[in-house]
Amino acid sequence: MSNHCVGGGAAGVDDLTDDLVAEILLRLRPSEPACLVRASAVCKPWRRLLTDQAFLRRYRDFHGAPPLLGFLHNVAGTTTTASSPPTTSDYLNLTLTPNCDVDRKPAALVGDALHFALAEGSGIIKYNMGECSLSRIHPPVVYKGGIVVMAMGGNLLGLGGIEGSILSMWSSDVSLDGGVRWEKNRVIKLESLLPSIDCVEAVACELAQPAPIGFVDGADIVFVRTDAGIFMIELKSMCVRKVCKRGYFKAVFPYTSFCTPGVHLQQNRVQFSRKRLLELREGDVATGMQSNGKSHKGGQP
Amino acid sequence: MAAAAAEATIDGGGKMIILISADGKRFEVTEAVASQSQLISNMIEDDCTENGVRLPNVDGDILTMVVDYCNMHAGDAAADGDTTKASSTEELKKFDAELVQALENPVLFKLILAANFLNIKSLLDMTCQRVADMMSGKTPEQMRETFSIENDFTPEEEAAIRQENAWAFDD
Repeated sequence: MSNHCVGGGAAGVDDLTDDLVAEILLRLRPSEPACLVRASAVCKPWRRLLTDQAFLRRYRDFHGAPPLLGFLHNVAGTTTTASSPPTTSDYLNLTLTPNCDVDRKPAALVGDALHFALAEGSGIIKYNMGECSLSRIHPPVVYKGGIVVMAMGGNLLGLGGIEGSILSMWSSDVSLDGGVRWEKNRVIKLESLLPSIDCVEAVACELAQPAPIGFVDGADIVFVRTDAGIFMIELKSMCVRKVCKRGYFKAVFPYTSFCTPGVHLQQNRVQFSRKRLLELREGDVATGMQSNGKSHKGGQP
Repeated sequence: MAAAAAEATIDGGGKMIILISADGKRFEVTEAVASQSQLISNMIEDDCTENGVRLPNVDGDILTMVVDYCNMHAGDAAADGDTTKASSTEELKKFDAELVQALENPVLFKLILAANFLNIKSLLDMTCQRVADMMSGKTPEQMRETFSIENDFTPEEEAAIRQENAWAFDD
């Protein structure tokens, strides 16, 4: 409780206890997330409060689920985004060039923008959250089998695509105005890489239309779909693992374990650092890492 | 709070309590009005309001507003059936909105401190919400200016925060 006398002199924020400042900041409306961020740049005590885990938990409890900020959807060659809560009817209807079909793959956040891969490798949709604008980034090469996009750190957007049996990794600084310039960082010959890891499957592994279907930001892991199954390639070590024997996956959504400070997990299970893979396909969900030859069958296709 | 108010009404609804501000102003209110303050409600339960309740943390001007607020909202806590006493919801909303809209910053903060000291949850909620709403659309500089807050970041620290969340600083 404050000892300040509510009377003499002009009361200001300085007179409020941390608890009272928290009561105020707690009431910043979730429909304006930028306001929370700007408040965190006002002074150190506010920043401490706003970045405190306990405060953030309280904020979530106070306001419930975070509001929907927008969505992209495909309408016969049109990409639409709602940049504000739909109730305000503040929609941005942006028609981009025909065949602008957003792929069902995770987006990459680079700088202020989300980047979504388009189907059939026809490009990338960039949604700039600051400007609420949509633009299209042309790929270095049109990879018919589709592409994966990834955050490479800094302002670099990464792109992976397969042509024939060559997996190419590209990057581009997307913060620059004007045209995007792609640089080829890696060329990986899948032919020499993939069959060798599974002799039994080698004969069947003809690599008909292999395609990249997922990427783990920060860990430099690419998932590649081939006729012989799904492979996980660690780009740093060039270590290859077969994670699924068969199945036609359009995309994989990788997840990694993480630790939440202050949350006590049962039976000392905090130490997990093992990465796990979640594979999704329509009507079939298979979880876990499968070793060669012991593939989990996730139901009949 | 509702239970305490109901009890007060049954025990002797007409009983009056004297509130005394820091500068000696006296306010006579019913128990039902006063017990919207959890602090005073507890004092009523403990039977220590005989000689008036001294509030050394709240001056007369602020206490006037608090008493006005409690008088208006006494209907909330009073018996539900008594519709003549209770102000209509719309009236209350209008009263609340006018109360906080009209306040200058220092007074608003004093009211927050008083609501906190007296433990009147709805008033604390309303005043804190008003301050939060005043921050909407403002840049960090404007927030500092509005609330007289000193910027204790180094230019480098501030630049780093801005760069990290550039999307939020569209100025």
